[in-house]
Amino acid sequence: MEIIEKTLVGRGLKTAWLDGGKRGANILCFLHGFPDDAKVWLPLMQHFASDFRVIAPMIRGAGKSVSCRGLHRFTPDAIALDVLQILRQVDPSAKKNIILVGHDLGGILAWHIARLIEDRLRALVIINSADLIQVWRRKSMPRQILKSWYVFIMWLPLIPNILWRVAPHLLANIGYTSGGLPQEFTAAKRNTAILHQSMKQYRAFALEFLRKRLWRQTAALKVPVLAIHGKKDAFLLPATLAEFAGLALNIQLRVIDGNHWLQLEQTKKIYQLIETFLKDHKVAA
Amino acid sequence: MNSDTHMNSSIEVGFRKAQRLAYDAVECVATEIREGWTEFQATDLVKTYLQDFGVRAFFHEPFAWFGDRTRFDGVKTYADFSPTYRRFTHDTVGLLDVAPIVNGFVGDIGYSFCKSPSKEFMQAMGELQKLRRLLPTLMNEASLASTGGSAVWKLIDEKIREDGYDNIHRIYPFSVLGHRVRRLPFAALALRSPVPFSWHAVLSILLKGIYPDLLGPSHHGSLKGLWAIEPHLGGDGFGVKFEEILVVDDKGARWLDDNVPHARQEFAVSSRRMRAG
Repeated sequence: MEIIEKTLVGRGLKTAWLDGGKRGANILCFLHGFPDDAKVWLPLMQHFASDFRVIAPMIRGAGKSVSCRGLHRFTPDAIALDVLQILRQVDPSAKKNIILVGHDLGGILAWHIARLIEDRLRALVIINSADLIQVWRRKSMPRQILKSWYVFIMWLPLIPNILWRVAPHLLANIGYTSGGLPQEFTAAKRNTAILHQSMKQYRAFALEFLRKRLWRQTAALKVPVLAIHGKKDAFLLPATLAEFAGLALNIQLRVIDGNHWLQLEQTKKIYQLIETFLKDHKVAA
Repeated sequence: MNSDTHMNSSIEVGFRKAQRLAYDAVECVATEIREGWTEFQATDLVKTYLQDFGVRAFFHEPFAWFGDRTRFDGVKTYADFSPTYRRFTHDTVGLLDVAPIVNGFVGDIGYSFCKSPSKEFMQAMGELQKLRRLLPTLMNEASLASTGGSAVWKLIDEKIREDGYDNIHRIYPFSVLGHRVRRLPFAALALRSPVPFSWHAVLSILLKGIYPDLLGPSHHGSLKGLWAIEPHLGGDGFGVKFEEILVVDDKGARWLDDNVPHARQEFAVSSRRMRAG
């Protein structure tokens, strides 16, 4: 089924997303992470396209989503507004149900947006990711801190920018290889412009820990949540159920043999896990 | 030329731009507000929208009030105006109020909305529209007669109560129906203060004096200048308001911009509303 890139102008900037699937059906919204663009979801989107409307927003600087100076358009709230405007374009009456699927930083966004659209949300799927509160809970886990070495580098001023200028492909290769990105995808993904823009997202997300809004009480999500982790993920330890306390009332955790880019490495398996999960919770297309 | 007596058109353009941006922000967020959103979530997104357009400072930070908080039920202290965990439901009234500073120009606005508008909500909005039509005439007459704003305040208060509503702007600090807006210095400095009003707001008041700048029941003195006018009325369990800039100069009194949400749509004006009980 054809999936094409569409754009709108949202709050002064061109914002893009991949769009396809079954018109009039409920919406599967895929949120990519670092340092990807929405095309990371294409194989999985093709699997679901016959039953759902499938969309995948491009974060600022990815695809045709125009980037900007500064961090303000990379915060969870700013990206959430972009996604809400895309959803409004795709479903103007806001009547369709939504299933959010997030990977990596896209998983953090998925948690955040889930709290804004909970009345239309039917399920949340998180792949190799964690909510910001979970990230905070991991601050006393030495193994996680070691795995997150690259995050601390990205939070430094100037140094990451210099590194990306001096040796962008080398750094990209380190990331993709250690993350287990399948070989057939690595050449296509050496888009260092995305790397630079995605870094801003890391910095913007880091600033959230200093903001009051992260620490406000939020009610646990009532929608069913499926969290999938790869046992060999180079960047994240698999979650435990205890980590989700206060975040969601209905969690299913699946830890499978795999790396960081599970949706590319094991597309069919991830599709089956999600499909079974949706059927078990009677989430229809 | 004294800019207070004959409005400089570039000043009007600056304020109009700030006001339109503020209204764009609240309309966008109000469109997206869904059942379950807290007032905090609404104000966070209003602020984000404005920051996306380069706003770094606010005359006052965004407020959001849902349900009976739109008529300030339970509001006893200044802190009670701030956003809370109150959640929006599809049949409640919501109110968003924000004042971004855009290149020194303040766009102080207030916006009422309801996702499933009831007859009572529509009637109250009609009442607000009636007041909107009346206010320029009253301000112009008071300006020409040099009676000050207290006469305007009292007439509006009377009209609201005659039509069976409560005067909610009486609950605001100093019971203001409106306040002057001026171009602010140091607008690029996003200085936080301990209250939801910025240091720009506090300085502005200290430099010009509190009372001439507040359109309350005791206002005396000149009415010439720009005013953020905010009539706020209360029905049973809800309140509605608008807030926008009124220009008073040698040419008379007029709204800065007729392209505002509450003026775009005609709300039917009811006959006198009967209050229960």
